[in-house]
Amino acid sequence: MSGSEERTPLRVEGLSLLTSRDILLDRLSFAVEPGEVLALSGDAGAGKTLLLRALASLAPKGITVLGDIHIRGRRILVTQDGALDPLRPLGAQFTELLAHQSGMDERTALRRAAEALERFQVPAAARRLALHPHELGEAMRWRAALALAMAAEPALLLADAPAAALDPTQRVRLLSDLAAWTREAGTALLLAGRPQPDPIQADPVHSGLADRRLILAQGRLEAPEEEPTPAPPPVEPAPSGPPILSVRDLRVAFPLGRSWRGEERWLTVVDGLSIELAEGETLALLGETGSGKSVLARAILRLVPPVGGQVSWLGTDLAAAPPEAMRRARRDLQILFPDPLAALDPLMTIGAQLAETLESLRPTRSPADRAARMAEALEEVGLPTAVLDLHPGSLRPAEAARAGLARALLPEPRLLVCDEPAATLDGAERADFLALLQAIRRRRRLALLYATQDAAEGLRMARRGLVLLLGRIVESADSAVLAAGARHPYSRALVAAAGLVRPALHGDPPSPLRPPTGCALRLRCPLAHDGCAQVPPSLDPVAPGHRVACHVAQDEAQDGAQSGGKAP
Amino acid sequence: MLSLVLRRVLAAVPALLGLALAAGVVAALAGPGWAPALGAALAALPATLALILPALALGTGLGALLGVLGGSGAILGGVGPAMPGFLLAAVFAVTSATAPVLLGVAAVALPATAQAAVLAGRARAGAEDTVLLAARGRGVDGSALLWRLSLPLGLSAAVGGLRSAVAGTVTAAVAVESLFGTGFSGAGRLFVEAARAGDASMAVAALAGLCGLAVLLNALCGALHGWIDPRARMA
Amino acid sequence: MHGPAGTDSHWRDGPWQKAGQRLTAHRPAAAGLTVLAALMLAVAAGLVAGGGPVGAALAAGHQSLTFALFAGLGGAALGLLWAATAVALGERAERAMMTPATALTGLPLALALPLAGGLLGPERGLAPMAVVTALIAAPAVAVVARDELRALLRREFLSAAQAAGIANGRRLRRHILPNAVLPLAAAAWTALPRALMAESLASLLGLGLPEGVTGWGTAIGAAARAGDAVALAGPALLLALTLWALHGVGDGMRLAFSTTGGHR
Repeated sequence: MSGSEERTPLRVEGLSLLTSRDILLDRLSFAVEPGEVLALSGDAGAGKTLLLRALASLAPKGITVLGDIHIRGRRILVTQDGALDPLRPLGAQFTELLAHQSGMDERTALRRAAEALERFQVPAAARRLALHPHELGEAMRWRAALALAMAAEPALLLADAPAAALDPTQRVRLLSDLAAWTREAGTALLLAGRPQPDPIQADPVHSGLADRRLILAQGRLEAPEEEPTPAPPPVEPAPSGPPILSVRDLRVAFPLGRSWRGEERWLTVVDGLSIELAEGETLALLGETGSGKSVLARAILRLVPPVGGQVSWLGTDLAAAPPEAMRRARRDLQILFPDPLAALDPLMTIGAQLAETLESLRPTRSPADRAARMAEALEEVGLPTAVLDLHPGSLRPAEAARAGLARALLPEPRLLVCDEPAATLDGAERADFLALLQAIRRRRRLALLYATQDAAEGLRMARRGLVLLLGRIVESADSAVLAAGARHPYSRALVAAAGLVRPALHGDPPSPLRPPTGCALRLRCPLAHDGCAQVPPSLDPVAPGHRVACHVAQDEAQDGAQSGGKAP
Repeated sequence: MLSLVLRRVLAAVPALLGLALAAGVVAALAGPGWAPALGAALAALPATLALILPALALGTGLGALLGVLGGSGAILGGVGPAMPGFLLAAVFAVTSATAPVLLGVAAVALPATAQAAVLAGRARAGAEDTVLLAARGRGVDGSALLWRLSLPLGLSAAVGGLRSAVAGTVTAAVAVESLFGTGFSGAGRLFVEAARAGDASMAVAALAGLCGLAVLLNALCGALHGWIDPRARMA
Repeated sequence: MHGPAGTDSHWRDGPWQKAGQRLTAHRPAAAGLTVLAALMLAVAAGLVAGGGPVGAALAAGHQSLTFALFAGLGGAALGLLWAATAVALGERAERAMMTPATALTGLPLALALPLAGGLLGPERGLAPMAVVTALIAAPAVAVVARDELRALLRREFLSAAQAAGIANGRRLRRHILPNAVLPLAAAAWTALPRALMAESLASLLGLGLPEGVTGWGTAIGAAARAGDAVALAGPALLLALTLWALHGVGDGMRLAFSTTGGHR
């Protein structure tokens, strides 16, 4: 055994995990060197969590572990939810763990804790140590969980899909901070991806988030193949013609009750938005949690009542439309929901629900014609007609997504509003579904409104993109322009996070209950200056077809125009 | 902690006043002499409290421990619904030749123990794949895990469920006081005797006193829950 | 592409069958159902055969169970009505109606029955006692039912129905009501053990079922006062068994049918 092998924190040889009936993992062999980041990807149920638990000697009951696991030094497993002790403040958890593991006294431990939190850019770290986990935001809780693990100076850190539920800009930043620290400290980091659409799944090596990547499939480990770069989507001609959908100054807000002084308090989710969409046009709504993209999608279909502004379809104001006109508009406007299974009534068969939709939106059709339509729609989305007799409970997520698409296509809509339609799918199923959606949209010349938090996916699906922040548009441009040269710092962060590049935004998003004065991004923005706190920036053109709401970007664009159009 | 207790108790004041008012009105309508009846009921409350409080404390603590440990706790929790306090009181009253006080407390405490065991066991099972697994992943194990994490979590769940246990305990105490001849003479006994005699003012006053006791105990349990579990301090 | 999920023999099983399977998969619920069915048969047999201490205990069960059934059904109906009205009337009315219900669940409400028994005197009828029992059982049902209804109204398939242009009345009939049946049944079931407990407690104190009607509680109370352990054993065991079965089934229903996740 050579000297370098002596120092290898994790070496696995012929590791198999068995239940009494199945082989879950089959003779895996790999090693992680000090300071190395190994990314582990694989579909849902591939056994990533199981492998990590086995490596931590915490395999669930009823699972037999065969083979050799050599671990040198301390190992720490950070579980999928990164749970902390809910009953005690952070500081106490740090001191207890450090005292237990290295006999550290309380003051040293608290200092170490504050330093660890600062590595993840937690401002005023020492003060946070008095807080309980439930008093922290989700992002802060994850920083604390990872800081707690790293403060114990493990030789091997097993992280199971850390911070999977966070928004991409926060998550990628957190992961790159973690990778930087483990490399510096010489800790071996085994990072599992989660089954959902996950950047770690895609390719963390290119971006430097990981040094090596392994894929877990059918119980075996595989080295990743060179994935062909997806062909750039064919450039479609910009659709022309008058807008079919026009949204003007739309405002959606929810009452929060009265304050103690008797003032009505409102949570504003969509704040004076205007959109126009021409026949066959595709538009991506990009933004993270709380950006209002989902509520906007629903407000357009009047599934959520707006408090102000106007939505008109083909010149008809939907707010004032009589029931008959509204029914006609509903025929044209259809929606795909983020959880397609939850969007189907569990007590009715798929056939009954499709028939009900047709009956409601196309009442003039004869029953025979309806049956033919339903069969056609199912064929179009690639489902067998036997699905008509099934209840939603017996569908898999991918089938439910297709059934939802079939229902949306039945009334022959002209605009499809999609709210994260593939959120429950992963891997190949996700790609298949999106390709199907794209193909159907082209064939039927549908207009598309596609809301997503994954900038790369949104820009692939649509010709134009809108970036939303706290219910307002901060940038609007063609997808190609946004992908290559977004001007707003928030758009740039979204695009960067989608490519797994560390976004330049710091801190956490502001609370929608108490948005900052001036620009909504200024507390996270690296470019913010004093002026940003004064006036909220308006959405102004910086180039033809490109509008930005950012003081800095607008100033730059003006300077560029004055110096002969040579923008940096 | 003190401010939390004060806040909880103050929050219960309107309910208590409402109860007193309702009792006063009903008793006054029922006949004269409601003021002494209310006085007698209040004077009898401490005896009932002396039966309920140790039973609740003992039951919750023991139940939480048994529930977290599993095994006998799970069995106790499983048969819990079959033994409401009044039924135990009747059974113990027949068989008790010796130590009636202990048996009386046991009749009140056992259902509370069973409920605490169920809640604590459920909390522990729920935490098994989250908080407890995360702690194991950080290298905490064995008795440290039990005493520092499992038991506090179980206790928090048991105390959080005390609200319904309090109502059941008060009911059980009434049955114990009425069935065990000696040793117990609190508001429960007063209530049953007044009801049997058809003495409306006394019965209503005693019932109002018992309800007030439940409200007060609920407030204190809320405060205790907040002390154990910071998540419960918000509301 | 992929065929319909699960091509095994159960693939056509509808959601109602699946809910039933979930219920019987919960062991206390399956045992509870069996025990309840056996009790019904035994009580009926006891009525016919009669005689002996066992026969007497079974005959007493007839009175107790009938009373608990009617009072419990009344309480369940009242509680469901309470919750449905609160949810239908909008947010402010809902808060005003549900706050007292929640407050009432923290009180020893069961004691209202012996109080009523005492005040109504020895010639009390069965009907007023049943009404009081129903009132005792209602608040807890209302609280659970309100939570279930709120959770149901937030479900996404109702938005989908709206997007399909389905009118409100039809949405209520076709989607909301059918999906409310099982969760509300689970909420309503809790009224049965509550009614049985309240009645037994009151009868045990001699203030429950009117004189001449002998329930389990009456028999237990008489035996306890006489110090007769043998006479107490039969009715006490039967009452304990019934309560256990009712709770077991209720627990199973909550886990199998509830939309709020089953844990309160």
